[in-house]
Amino acid sequence: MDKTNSDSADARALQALDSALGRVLTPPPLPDGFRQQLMAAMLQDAAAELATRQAALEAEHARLLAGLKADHVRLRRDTLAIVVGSAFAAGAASMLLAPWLVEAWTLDTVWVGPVLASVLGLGLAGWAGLRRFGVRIGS
Amino acid sequence: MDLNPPPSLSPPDSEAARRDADIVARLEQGDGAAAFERLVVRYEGKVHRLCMALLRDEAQARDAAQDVFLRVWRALGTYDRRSAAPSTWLYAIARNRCLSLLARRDPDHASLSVPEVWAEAEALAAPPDIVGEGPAALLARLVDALPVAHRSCLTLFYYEDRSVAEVAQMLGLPDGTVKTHLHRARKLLLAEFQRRGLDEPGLWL
Repeated sequence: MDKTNSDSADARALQALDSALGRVLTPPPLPDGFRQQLMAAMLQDAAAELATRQAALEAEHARLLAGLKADHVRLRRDTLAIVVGSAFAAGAASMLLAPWLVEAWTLDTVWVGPVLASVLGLGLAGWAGLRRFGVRIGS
Repeated sequence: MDLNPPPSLSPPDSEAARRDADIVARLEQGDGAAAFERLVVRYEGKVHRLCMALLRDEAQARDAAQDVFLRVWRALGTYDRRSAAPSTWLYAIARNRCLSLLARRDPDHASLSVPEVWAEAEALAAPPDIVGEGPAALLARLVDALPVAHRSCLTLFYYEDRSVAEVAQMLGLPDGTVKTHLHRARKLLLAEFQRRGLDEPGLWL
């Protein structure tokens, strides 16, 4: 009998506690403007991400531009080296070959040197230029 | 209670998965914005209540809830529907966010195992004596003094209209564990009322 009374009292206490907790622990309302603030935060986040991406793209662009400039300088330097080298090689070759050609073919001494130098120079320059653009001659 | 358990996965036929089927469908269609909008509309209140239950600070809970949705928006592309329902995933992010904030505030509450919580409950220091305080305020203070695991379960249980399943999903715990925490929390509260000579429900309700 006592146990029944005790169980009943416990049940009553638990029921009363449940009611009281239900009254005390009411769900907090969502703060005013929660969604608007969320949207604003998202816009801000998107803007920040955009700025980060823009900065990354600008850095990449600057890197590519610096690379292109370096290539351009190298190209100009190489071209100058080819021109000077070709001219020198053509001059040296014509100096060596001119006496033999004049004697063997009885050619005019005045014209042999310059013509031979021009042909050799243009040939060398053309060969170097074609190699530059990846064209292999004789392979 | 470890409030940071391994991610509890929702099987494809779970209640959460059924409830979120439309959101998953939007995601599969590649309409992330529509899926996110539905997620916000459906769960903003629940996420806020979860943050409130765990953090017990209105301003911090509001900021945390906003941060949770922001993180979800950023990570929406990486969401894998096979691993969990969107709401389960959302709650896991919310819990982790709150736990990070709690850890910053109080490292002891970042992660507590069940025995530790029970020990904490046993060793619960007597809340300050409240003389002349109304029963509702007294009860609120007693709830506030409960160990974090009991308090979180109890608070969410009443926030979520006494749904154990909902609380279990929100906290990433099995239903049985939630029921255990609720039982122990009530027991502690009743014991505290009795200790104060207020064991007759009519006196304090």
